[in-house]
Amino acid sequence: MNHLMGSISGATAHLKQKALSSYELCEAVIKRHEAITKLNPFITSTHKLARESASRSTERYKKGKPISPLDGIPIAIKDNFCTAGIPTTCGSKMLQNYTPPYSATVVQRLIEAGAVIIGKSNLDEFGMGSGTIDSTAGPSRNIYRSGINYKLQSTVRYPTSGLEDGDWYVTGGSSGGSAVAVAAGAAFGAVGSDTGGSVRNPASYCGVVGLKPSYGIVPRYGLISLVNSMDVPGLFGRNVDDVATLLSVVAGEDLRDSTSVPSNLQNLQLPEVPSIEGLVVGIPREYHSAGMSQEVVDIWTKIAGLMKEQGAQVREVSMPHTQYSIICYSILNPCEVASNFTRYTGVEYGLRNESGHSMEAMYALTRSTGLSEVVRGRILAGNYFLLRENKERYFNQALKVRRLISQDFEQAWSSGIDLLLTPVTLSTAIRYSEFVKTDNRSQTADQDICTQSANMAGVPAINVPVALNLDGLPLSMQLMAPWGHDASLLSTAKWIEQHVNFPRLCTIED
Amino acid sequence: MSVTNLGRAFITNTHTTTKMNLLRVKRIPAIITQRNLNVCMSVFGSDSQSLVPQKPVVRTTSTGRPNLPPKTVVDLRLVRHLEKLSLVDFGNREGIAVLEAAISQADQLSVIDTEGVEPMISVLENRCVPLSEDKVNEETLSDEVLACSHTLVDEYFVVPPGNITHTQEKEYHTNLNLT
Repeated sequence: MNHLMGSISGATAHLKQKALSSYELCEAVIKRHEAITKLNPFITSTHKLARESASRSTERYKKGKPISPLDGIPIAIKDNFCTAGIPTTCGSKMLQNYTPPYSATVVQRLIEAGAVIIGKSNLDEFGMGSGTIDSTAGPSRNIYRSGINYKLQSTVRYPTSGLEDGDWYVTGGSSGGSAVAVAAGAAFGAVGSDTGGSVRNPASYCGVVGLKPSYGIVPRYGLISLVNSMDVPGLFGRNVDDVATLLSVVAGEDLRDSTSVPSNLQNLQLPEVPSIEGLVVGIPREYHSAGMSQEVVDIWTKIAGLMKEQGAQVREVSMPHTQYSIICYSILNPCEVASNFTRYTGVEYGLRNESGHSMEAMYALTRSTGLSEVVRGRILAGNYFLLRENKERYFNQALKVRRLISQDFEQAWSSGIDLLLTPVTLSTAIRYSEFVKTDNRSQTADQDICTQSANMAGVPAINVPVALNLDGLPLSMQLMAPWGHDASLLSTAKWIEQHVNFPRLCTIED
Repeated sequence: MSVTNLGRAFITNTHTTTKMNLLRVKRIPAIITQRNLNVCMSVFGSDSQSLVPQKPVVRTTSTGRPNLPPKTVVDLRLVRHLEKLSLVDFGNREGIAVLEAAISQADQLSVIDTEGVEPMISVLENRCVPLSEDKVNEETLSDEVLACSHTLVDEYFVVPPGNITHTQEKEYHTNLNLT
């Protein structure tokens, strides 16, 4: 069904005109999900609940009373957001049997807007990873070159066939399930979480728009914590307007999250035809890091040139602490994890290993059984960095370097720069066979280089797909803006989208 | 040569083009040449070369440890200590190698001069975040909360006896082959 690859506003228009009903749209999405199961986008499908939700939406449209621009629209939710009555596993054995009694703020707001929750999407366990490989539900696969038949909206012919040796491309992570669900038409939009790049990385590999909003403007209540000072609920869509619609629904203070702040994004409307006349775009030189593929550098160069030609002022800027951001993250992340993960004991929820005869034994055995090597590795590293003899040298030093990284951004903004333009990932999507050659810890250290700093500073950042390479894989660009400037970030992203003519996935054989 | 296609130039992927495809296509795909590359790039501005650094600017992989502290070796004492604090185990020798690599990477921060720099705890430090009212919330959620646990006695969570130190089986630490 062609509607499935269109925009949210396009779908809503069809629903309003009664060209199709919310129920039919939901059925089409369910059918698409069945056609792409080999990509493994979902840990839990919520088809029954989705149908009920879609039926209620159909009634509202019949009466001419849709609640919002999202009424009847199928949305996927990453499986680290609590959904009342629906299993929420974080891709981990520890929470395999956990059904939350409450829903995350983001989920509640989407439901209140009439959105249809279509499934809980796959992720690297607890959000730790950059491939969506390390989940108890198995890996997710990228739609591109997966062997599923699809067509591109392009006069140029790109390869779309599956890889000859049966290998496949990773979705990126950790929100890979959400990214591929949107890319493949099994959802119109999706929610993910971004701590070091976990929305933008899979958005880049899967050729969709991925937004990490400013820290604090989308409440984290109900998002199962990874790194409290960096976690941000993020949004996926096939175009920037869709992501803006989602943001307008989920943004805004929630008193149950003490790190959430008020926002005026509820009425967000992007200009029809954004302009970049006079916009000052910074190119941070240090973002060209070793290992970046030539085609990524080329596309960065081209987009910078395009923006300059069309009226923006483009200039190089130095952000000297960029190279330390990933190291800083590799300390602060495990430290917060070590603290956050003390909650997993098997007492109040989750897996419980009863073979120990003491409380401490029970906790230790439960945690060793329920948490993967990757997770345990981070807890142990975090506790190492927090040891009395190490805390000053590692944890406090990392906190100070965090300030230096944040100051790099402040200095860029005060020098007159409105937005920063950088790559997102070092290359296009990686083959699974290549990806697994590197361990999880090193892999994230390599892959998060361009994305991580935005989480350090709390600034908003967005991934915009701009082209396909010769292998038919998406190439994307990242924009970053000062904290709170999500609207102008989205406007400029929309401008890029309108000027690059990204060859969209337009049909998939069901 | 890697060329990405943004304009209407036709580029062929020589790995997948076959004779059959060439006959079907109306416009003959161009072979990748420097001229095509320039045509592509000129669509977006030929003087864009200088805007983006064309070579890597920083070294992201360290080749040695010149000014860094000596490499930390994880010994049995440290393993036991961390396992006790974390209540998770390293599992095997690889787990220890991962920690050693993490410490090695973290050591790279020690070269940065942070004299006079305040630690940054939160990016919202300059904003007022709300304090909640000192008001009793009337809702009781005990049923919902207790329902999440699989081991209850009446309305109590249950744990085995405390104050007993958990020790791993002896072979586990021997198998780690540590000093």
